[in-house]
Amino acid sequence: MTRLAPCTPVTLAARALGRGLAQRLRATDRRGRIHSAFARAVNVEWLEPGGGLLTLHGPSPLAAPFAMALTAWPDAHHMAAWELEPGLPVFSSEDRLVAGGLEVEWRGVPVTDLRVTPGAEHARATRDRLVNALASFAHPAGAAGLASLAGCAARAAAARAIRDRDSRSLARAARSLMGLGEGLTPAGDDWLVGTLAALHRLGQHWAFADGHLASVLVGEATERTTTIGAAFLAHALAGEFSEPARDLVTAESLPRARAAAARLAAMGATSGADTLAGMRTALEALGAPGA
Amino acid sequence: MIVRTLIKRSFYQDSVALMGVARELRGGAGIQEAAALMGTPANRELMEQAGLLTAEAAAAGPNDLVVVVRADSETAADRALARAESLLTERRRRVEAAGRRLPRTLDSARRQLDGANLALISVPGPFAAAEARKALHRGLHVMLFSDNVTLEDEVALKRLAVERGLLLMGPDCGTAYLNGVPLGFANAVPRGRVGLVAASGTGLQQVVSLLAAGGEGVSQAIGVGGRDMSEPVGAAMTLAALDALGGDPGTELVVVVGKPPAPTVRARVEARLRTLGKPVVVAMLGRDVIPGRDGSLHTVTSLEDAAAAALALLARREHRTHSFAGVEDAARRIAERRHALAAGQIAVHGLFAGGTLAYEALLILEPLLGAVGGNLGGSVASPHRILDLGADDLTRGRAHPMLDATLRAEEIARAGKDPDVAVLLVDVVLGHGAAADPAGDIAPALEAAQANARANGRRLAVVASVVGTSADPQGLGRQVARLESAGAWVLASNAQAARAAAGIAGGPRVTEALLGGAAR
Repeated sequence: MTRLAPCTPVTLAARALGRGLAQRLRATDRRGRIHSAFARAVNVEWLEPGGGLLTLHGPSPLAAPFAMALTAWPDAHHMAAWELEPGLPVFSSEDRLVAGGLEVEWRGVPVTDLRVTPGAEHARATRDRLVNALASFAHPAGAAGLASLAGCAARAAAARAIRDRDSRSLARAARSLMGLGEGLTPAGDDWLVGTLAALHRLGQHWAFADGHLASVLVGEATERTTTIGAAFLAHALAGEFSEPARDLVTAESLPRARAAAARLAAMGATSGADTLAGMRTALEALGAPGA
Repeated sequence: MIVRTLIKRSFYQDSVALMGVARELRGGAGIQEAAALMGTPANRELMEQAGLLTAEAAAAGPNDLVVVVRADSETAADRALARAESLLTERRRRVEAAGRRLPRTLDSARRQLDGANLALISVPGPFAAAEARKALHRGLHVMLFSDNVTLEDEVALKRLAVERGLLLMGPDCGTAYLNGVPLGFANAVPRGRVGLVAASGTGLQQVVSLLAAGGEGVSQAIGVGGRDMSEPVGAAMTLAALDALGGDPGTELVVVVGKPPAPTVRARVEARLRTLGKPVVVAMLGRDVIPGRDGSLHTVTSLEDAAAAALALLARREHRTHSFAGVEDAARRIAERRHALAAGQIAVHGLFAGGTLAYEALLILEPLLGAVGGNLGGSVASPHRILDLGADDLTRGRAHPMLDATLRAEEIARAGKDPDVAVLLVDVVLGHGAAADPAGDIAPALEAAQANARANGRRLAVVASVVGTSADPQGLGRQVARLESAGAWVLASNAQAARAAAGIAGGPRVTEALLGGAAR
């Protein structure tokens, strides 16, 4: 017998989501599409209203400031069966989202504050602890793209700009790093995110106050990097980070910082390592002679 | 030296995959260098420095994947790019090979299925109206499976549908049969002479299943949505559906299933029913409905009677209502179960997957047992309770109880511990779209509840009905057998099950009312 039936959604519950994301989703109904789908994550691009991204992944720490962690993650068979492929329409309303055969519900799910703000202790103590924690993790070179001539020059320029507290030069270096290197979030973007996390935590308001950095990281993002890279940079500029990155810069003891650094290092192919590299460069530059 | 490029527009792979592609290409025969990068300005600069920037790569955007190879020969370059294409699209090809490429939009669906004239829309409520409007503007009939569509949207959509001579079935339309094609939750029934207009999904399923049991099939069954006969909607789709059935040569008799229309709508609906030119069985379930015949209209008060009346009319014989298919057997079983009850066991708890089945049970129980509580607007002070477990507030964030028995199993366990409960009344709905083994899903909970009652010196009666046919994927016989093995008394219809429950929990007066002389 011929049969037509609507897709019967299977509901997965969310485990955690960022406070900013929760507020944005609650504000209005949204319509989007699957931007990219991988074995362990799916990115949703909102078409209206206002655009933006949402990353869905399994029960791990929130991998992006716009991520939602679910209590379980579908296997490859279900991913295919539910048609979680780029282009699939996505709808969200109040506290649920439907994409193909997958329905996600986040009513009552605890929200995680992913903002990084200056800590109560002296910035120098924070910086020293983080430098210590990163010593064994962050290789200055990061991914291959960052080790290119262009990458090396841009990183050096960024380090100088931070040392000199020169926001205009920092913005110029950021322009060279945006979209540079491997990955869906290019290595240069990851590196910049690490840098920005350190600057936010150590209260380096000079970097953001005059808008030079924003004019590059937000104003030029569409032309210079991928949609996902641009989203990471926009959130980082506003002080929002992935859970491992936030945990690292806000850790209040060396063992906690080291554990968080290990979690961050394990993220993605090179994303975590590149983020750590950017963070380390910023921390060292902030403590460099002549600063 | 040859440099060749492959551009994949808006194509995303994670870093591990891209590095793997680049690595594999570099290892190929005759390949000097290879890269797989997003086409950002910074990466284009890198490619230029490495002598890999072709005109195509230079024109790529930040969201385009650029695969570029430098090779000894054109053959080696072509081979490498073909390999890259293969690696990058492997997953997509797997899905396509499985025949699961589904359209993403209404328009792409129309392109894939030339000549389609109906859209089945199942997206979250806030977006459903826009999709339905789009479909109507493209000349498609609409089955709106989605719920949570506002009344204002429903009125506007149905007005548009009427203007264009189209059907808008729903919103919250779970079942329909059009030209032999079942849509949504639907039982496997034969084609036949009965056309149905239904404001109720499970009500429609009960009627068509009982028709099938009587050897009759369905010509068309058109769902109209639960609010269609309200004053604001004005029965717009009921009237359109009646017109369609009136003109359908395959329909000899029409059954209307739902709730009574709003007073202002009643006259219009009745007038249309009387001028249909075909006999009509009206099963608009409500407290004040009086059964009887008025010209070509035959009004009944249960879903079972709707099917029985239709069968009788088609067979040109008189329709007679009855409480049970086998009165003597029912009397014996009711007496056995009532005598086993402990003092204080007085209540019927109905736990339903079907909303209309729950409402029908409520209408049957109220006159026999008095007020009935639950979530259908009844008295909360009553020991009797009917729960529609498919109600919107109970299904948010979880599957409907026709698919997921978790909530019902919890309620069954709760009822098993309640010393007041004499009878558990349940429905099981089969068909396409329903759970694979709905009886098996609740059977362990039923067994545990009865065991719990026995351990506490009580006997819990379980009374059930199964909406389905032997041709359903779950098999009517297998589902009935599973319920019986779990200690349930399974009756032929929801109405009979509700009467049996009332007979067990109620006193002799109730049994007398139900069974007459057979009760003594």
